[in-house]
Amino acid sequence: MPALLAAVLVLGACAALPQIRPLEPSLRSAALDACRRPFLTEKYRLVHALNAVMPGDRESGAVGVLIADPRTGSFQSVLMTIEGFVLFDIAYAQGLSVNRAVPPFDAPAFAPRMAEDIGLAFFSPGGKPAAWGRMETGETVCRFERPGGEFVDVMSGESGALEIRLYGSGKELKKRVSIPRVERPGLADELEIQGAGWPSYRLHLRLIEAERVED
Amino acid sequence: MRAARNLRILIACPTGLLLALLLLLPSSPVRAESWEAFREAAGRIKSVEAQFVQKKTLPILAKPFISSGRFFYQPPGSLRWEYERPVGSVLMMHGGNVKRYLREKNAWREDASAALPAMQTVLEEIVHWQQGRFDANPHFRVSFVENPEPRVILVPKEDSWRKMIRQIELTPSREQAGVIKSVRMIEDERSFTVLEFSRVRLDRPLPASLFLRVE
Repeated sequence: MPALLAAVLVLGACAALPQIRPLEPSLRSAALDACRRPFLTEKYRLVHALNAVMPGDRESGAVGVLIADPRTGSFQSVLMTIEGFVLFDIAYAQGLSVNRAVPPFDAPAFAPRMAEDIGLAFFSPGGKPAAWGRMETGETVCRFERPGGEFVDVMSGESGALEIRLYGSGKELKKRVSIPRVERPGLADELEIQGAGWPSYRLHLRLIEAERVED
Repeated sequence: MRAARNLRILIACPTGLLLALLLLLPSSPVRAESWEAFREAAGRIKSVEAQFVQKKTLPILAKPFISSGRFFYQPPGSLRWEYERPVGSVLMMHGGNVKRYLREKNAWREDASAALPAMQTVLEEIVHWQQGRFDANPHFRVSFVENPEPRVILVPKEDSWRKMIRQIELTPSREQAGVIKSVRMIEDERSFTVLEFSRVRLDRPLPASLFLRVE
């Protein structure tokens, strides 16, 4: 066990962000546009069917409702069972508030992790990227730096598939959002969020309803 | 005692007398004073098949979130609660065992969510209602309301339960004795779920596989 821990620490210490190769100037504008496509540009109400896969391939389903405003970065989100029982209700404005949390969703770590998932998947990580270019694997990428030494990569493949990656301050990959395709900004029919920490999880979201919210 | 009190109210209130006469009309087989008759009628039912529409109202939603599906019940304790749209899910109880399956890209996967034990409690409660045993759960106080239509009101006795659910209202069918027409579960003033049953067919033989296998 100590050996395993040491190995994890050594690997973590050695983690590095994937290298970005410079992009031809003629492709820069298109690359930046692609980097904005995963994210909402207006306040929306979204209803998703959720399928969560936890360690041991344990699956569970739910319905998620999200009102997200990219102008303020604020949101409200409700998770309920398919039968309509509300399990979890949080809001983020100046800070994160938990309005309702039915066990096991009352674990202290759950609300911040969910808030991070929502922010990562639906809100742009920043205005101008710190760097952009092409990955070794061919995708165009925009790299955004976040407070606390974290980084967010937004990658776009030739097929139209998008991927958002969150790297921790130790450059370790923390989360990954995969979007097969998106027609309108922030309104992907399907997306998958993978969390690499413990417990690891995979969250598949299928969009059921999307409605622009007027203030 | 209760009859004497009702009589005093009727004498004091002509409107009450009129309503009482209306309730006595043959089109109302489930009269407020005949819950025992409801229980007896429910006890004679050999099976129930029904369509249902579920309307979930929440402050975060601009309009109710609507789901629909099919419901099957066979005494003494077999249930199949099947959601067809917009999220496919089958919740089954047979011989005290509860299983839930989720439809994911046209394939069924077993749900192993932590909420499943809670759902067993809910399903057992539904079985009690189907049998007219509204007072079977010691955590709820039962009362019967006559107007505007006969209803059973269940209110949690303990604060811990009231945090989750404020009240449940069950409305019996006027056309089919021993059958519940709708269920309304109130979480708070602005959050509630209404289940309305339709096309109810009684006493048809149902295969055991309906309660054991997802398809």
